[in-house]
Formats: sequence, C-alpha cells, structure tokens
Amino acid sequence: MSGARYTIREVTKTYRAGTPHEVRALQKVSVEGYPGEITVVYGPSGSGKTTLISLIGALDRPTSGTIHLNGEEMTRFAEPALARLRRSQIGFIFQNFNLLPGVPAWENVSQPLIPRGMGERARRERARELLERFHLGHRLLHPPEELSGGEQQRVAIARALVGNPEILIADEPTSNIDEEEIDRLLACFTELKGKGTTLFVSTHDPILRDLADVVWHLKGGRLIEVERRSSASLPDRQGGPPETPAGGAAP
Amino acid sequence: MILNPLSVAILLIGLLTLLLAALQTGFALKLHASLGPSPTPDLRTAVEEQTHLMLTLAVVLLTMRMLAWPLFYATLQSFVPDIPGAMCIYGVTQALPTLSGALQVLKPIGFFLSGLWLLLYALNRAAKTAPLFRRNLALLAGVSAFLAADALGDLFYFLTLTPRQEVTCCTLITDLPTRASAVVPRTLLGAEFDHPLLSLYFAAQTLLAGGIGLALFRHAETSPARRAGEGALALGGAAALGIAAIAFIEIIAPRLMGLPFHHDLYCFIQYVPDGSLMLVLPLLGLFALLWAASLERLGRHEETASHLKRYTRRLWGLALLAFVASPLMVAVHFLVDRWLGGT
Amino acid sequence: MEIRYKTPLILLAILALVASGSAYWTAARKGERCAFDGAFVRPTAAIRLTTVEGMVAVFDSIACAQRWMQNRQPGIRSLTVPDAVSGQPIDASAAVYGKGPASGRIRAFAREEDLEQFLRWSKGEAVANPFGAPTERVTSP
Repeated sequence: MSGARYTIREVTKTYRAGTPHEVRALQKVSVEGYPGEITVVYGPSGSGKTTLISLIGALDRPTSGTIHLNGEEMTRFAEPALARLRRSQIGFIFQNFNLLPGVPAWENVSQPLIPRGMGERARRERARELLERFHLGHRLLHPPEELSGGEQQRVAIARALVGNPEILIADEPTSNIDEEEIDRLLACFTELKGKGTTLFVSTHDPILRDLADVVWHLKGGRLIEVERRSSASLPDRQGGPPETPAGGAAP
Repeated sequence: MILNPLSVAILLIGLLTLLLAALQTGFALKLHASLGPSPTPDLRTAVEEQTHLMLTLAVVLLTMRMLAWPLFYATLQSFVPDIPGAMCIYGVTQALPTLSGALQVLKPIGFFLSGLWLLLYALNRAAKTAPLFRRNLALLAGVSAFLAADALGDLFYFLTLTPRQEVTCCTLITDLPTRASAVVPRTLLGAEFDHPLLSLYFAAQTLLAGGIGLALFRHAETSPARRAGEGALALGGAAALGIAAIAFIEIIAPRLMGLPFHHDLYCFIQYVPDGSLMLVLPLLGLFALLWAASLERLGRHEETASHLKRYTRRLWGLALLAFVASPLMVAVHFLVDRWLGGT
Repeated sequence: MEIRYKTPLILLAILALVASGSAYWTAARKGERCAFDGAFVRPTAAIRLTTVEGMVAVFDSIACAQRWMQNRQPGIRSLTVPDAVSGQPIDASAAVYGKGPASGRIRAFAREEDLEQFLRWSKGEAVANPFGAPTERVTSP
C-alpha cells in the first residue's frame, strides 16, 4: 500500500440491495493507483467502469470493502468530508461535459473556486489563464451552446483542472469529440501525468489504451486483468504495483 | 386572550414551532435509532441524505424561536393599555406571573441549547468521519422537545391572558427601598452602595475580560488544564453577569433613563434604545463561555481535537467582545450624559 | 495561533457609536419625567415635590404623586400642584380639588369659583386634598 495514491480493497457496489431488482455493479475489486500514472478503466458497456470511477472520485460509497486515498480510508468519511475532498483534490470530466447552460465559459470554469471563497476577479483571472492554455481565450464569454463539442470538452477539462487537483477522473472522454480534439486531449493528459497528476480514464475506446500506464479490464462488474503497459513510467515506490488482479478478483 | 397583530404573530409562530419541533424531535430520534453505533455505508448514505431535510427544518425552527424571543416582549409591551394597572411590561407580566416568569427563563435557555446544537453540528461537519453524528441527533431531539415546550408555553400564556385582572405597577415593587436587588449590595457594600457597586461592576467586567484575554493568549494544551480554565471562566462569567444585573437595576438603568428612583429593566429597554443590547451582551458572553465549556465535554474526539481548539478560541473571542462591549456602551452613555450636562 | 483584531475592533467602534447616538438621543429627549411612571411632564401639568432631604420629584398627575408617596412615605418640605385653569404652580395645601366623573382624574384649582364652575360643567364632585392636608375650604356644588 505504501506509495499508492489509491488502494481499493475488496470493493463491492450493489444497487437496490435486498430487493428483487438488485444490481451488482462491482464485485470484490482490489487494485491500486499511483501518482503520475494514467490508469485506463477499460471494458464494455455495463462492466462497472462508471461505478468504479464514481467510487474513486468519492461521488458514491461502496456497499462493502475499503478505499484508501493517500493512506486515509475515505470510505469512512462523512458526506461533508467527501465534498471537501472532491473540491480540493479531485477533478472530474464527465461524458456529457455537464456544463451550465447559458453561463459564460469563464464562469463554468471557475465554479469549483466559489466554495473556496475566491473573489470574482481572481476567479476570472484563473479561468482566463486556463482557457487560454486550451486555446479558448477568444471564447471566454461564450456559453456552452455557442461552443463546438470539442470546445465544450476543453472547457470541461479546464474546469476539472482549475482547483489544481491531485487526481483527474474522466468518464468516456472521447465519446463526444472528433479526432483532432482527441489528439489534443491525449496531449493534455500526457502533460498532466508529467506533473504528477493521477489520471483515471474510463473508456471503451482503444486509442486511450495506448496512452495508459495501467489498464484495468472490467467485465460484468469484476476486475479480470490488470495490464501494466509501460514499466519505464513506473513511479518511484516501495514494493511496486501489482501485476495481476489483487484479491482474487479474476473470474 | 388579547387580540392584536403582535399576539396573532406570536401565536402563529408558536403553533408552527410546536408542529415543526414535534416533527423534528421524532425525525431526530428515528434517525438516531436507525443509525446505530456502526452503520453500513449504504445506511449511512441514506441517513446523510435525510440530514439535509433535518438541517433545513432545524434552521427554520431555530430562526423562529430567535424571532419569538424579542416578539414575546414586544407583544407584552403592546398589552400595556389593555391590562388595568399596567404601565410597562412588568405590569403585564404580573397578570400570570408564574407562567410569564417561566417563559422568560425558557427563552434564553432555548437560545443557549440551540446555539450548542449548531456548534456541535458544525464541529461534527468539520471532522472527516462525523464521529459526533449520533450525539448530535440526540441533542437535536432534546433541543427540539425543549423548544416545543417553550412554544406550547407561549400558546397557553397568550391564549389565557385576559384584560380582566388588575395588576400592580413596577414602581410599587421595584422602587421600594426593600426591593430584592438593593438588599444584597446594601448588605455587602453598605447603605451608600452606588459608587462602590458601579466600581465593582466595571472591575468585574474588566477582570473577566482580562481572564478571557489571558486564556486566549496562553491557551492550555492539556485537556484537564483546558477544562479547568473553561470551568473557571464560565463561573467568572456567571459572577460577572450577576454583578452586571444588580448594577444595571440599581444604578445604570436609573441613570441612563434619567429616572433616578426607577429600578425596572423593562422600562430601561423601553426608554434607552440600545438598552436591550447592553443587557443581552453579557448574557451572550456568558453563553459563549458555557458553549466553550460544553463543547469541550460533548465534542471531544481525536478527530475533532484541532477544530475544538479553534472553536473554543472563537467562542472566547466572542465572550471577550461581549464582556468588553457592554461596559464600553455604559461608559459611553455616562460620558455623553456628562458632556451634555446630564447625570 | 494568530489573533485577529480588526473585526472585533470595528464591532466595538460601531457599538460605541451606537451607544453615543443613543445617549445623545436619550439626553435630547430628556425634559422632566414623571418620577412614578417615567412619562414626560408638560410644565403646566407638573406636580413638584421637594423632600426634607432636598430631593425634587416631578409628577405628571396627582394619582402618580399619590402612589409614589404611598410607596416612599417621604418627609415633605414643599409640594406644588398646577392650577387647572392657569397652569401656574400653587401650594398643594392651598388648592381645592375636584374630580370629573368620566376620567376620575383629580384636578387642582387655585380659586373656589373655578372649581365650582368645573363641577357644574363636568357634573363631577369635589374631593378632599388628596395629599392629606386640611380640607375645610372645599365645598360641594
């Protein structure tokens, strides 16, 4: 566990537990994530990818099992502490971007800074800085409906990064953008990885697999394989990452 | 029952409080029972989702009781022309003296308990795993039940109070040489106690403020020492408030009202615009000290230790401000009076 | 730990300002007040009592003066009441008194003719000196 940013142990998530409509979205998944690593959560639709990254992103709690973040068991955290965690350490890029309609791009980007008590001028400046970095300096005042899909996604990425998160979580980030935008996205992810950000990307797009340091293969809510793609990019850590699924998760 | 817009307002608030408080008590008890000492994550999520509603209810409830406190006195004031013999709030309170006395005691206690619950709630929220959640629910149930009793008392009082009964005026009680508030200082300080009592008032407030200031700068790290300090400050606060109450009744209020023979604080509130503030501030100061001492006992947990220290310091800061502000306001009044050639 | 002074000092300054404004307002409102009920006293309605200790108490009605004196039983050096006709102060023991039937309010008169006129007009009745002085001069209509 030492050196790991995330340690997931025996995590199960069941929706509508104890009812005839019970759904076992994840079953006894055990795995670890390290700083400066791009982890791709790969699998077909319904395999539990979104559930797993929701748990990693503290958007939900597992039915059983534990998740440690930086050595702290976040599954014990109460909702206010989880909210603080999401605000301060985790950035999200949602599949459908989830931008606020009718709100200018800079305001969308600066939303996560409002609960931190940052003044409007400082928020605007920080949002402008990020949007310029993503070549959207000319779109500061444009609401999402006046932006292309790729531009919307870049706004969503800027919003995810505005709070300097340690962890970036992206759910199917390539599903709504064209090839050129995908190239930009990959470049952005590589840059973030270089800065030590831990990235979790849920996808069923093979392009993203090539970028990954680690690929977690999910199927039917089970982790069937952990594939380490690049030993050269392994972070400096004691004990090293697991090369096979931990906890006997394979079917 | 005496009908006017204020009595209708306080009855409505009382009724609404009673309903919400009963609902809140039941809700808090149910959540407390369902949560248990070690809840499953799913249950915990379900309970936390319900706490948003609970917090909204609690905030509405506490706000209504906060409004009911000054409204209670405003309503009594509005009854003065209706009660034969009454010339101020004191006279009105004599129509049903036991109940009105009880309600006047319940209201500040309700304020104190509500504040304690809010502080415990905030402390619990600041911790990572919400270790005080069950305790907080139990306290909320207790506070809600208390507020329900207070609201019920208001309803009963204002529904049964009639203009038929003739009452005595405050001057027939509070201005007598044998009045209770004069007995203690006369016994301790002699017949001419005005100047010594005023000096004692300023000295007590200054000493207490100094004690709080010292505690703020030299905050004890060990728990027993901190507890002893908090207990001593709370006791000191109670003593300072007692001295302030006697000094206000005997000297300050008559002087500031320009009625040297009148010793009624209800009239003081009526005649001096900031009179109620001068009286409420030391009470708030004492509450802040008691909140700090109570939080130290109710909110202690390894996760809350650092937050608890911060909260205690803030409460002490509030107490210091309150105990400095009230005598400062009194002194300003005296100075302006002297400058204008008054008392 | 850092101590923040700015906000408390601003608050104290605001409270001091509020207090000085209130004190000024209270002083500006000062005028003579009834020693019994605190109401402001019109000069033409003032009843003035000087105790043997030299303390002066002012009242806005005979009823207030009576009740205050009942409470305190002061030694009286002088007591003046306003003449209901002219508003001029007259010695309480030299005045005559009448009471209207509606208000029950006792009025003092310097001259018996004025009292009789008042009683005819109001259908009230003459009363004895409410402060206990001799009442031989008081007559019925």
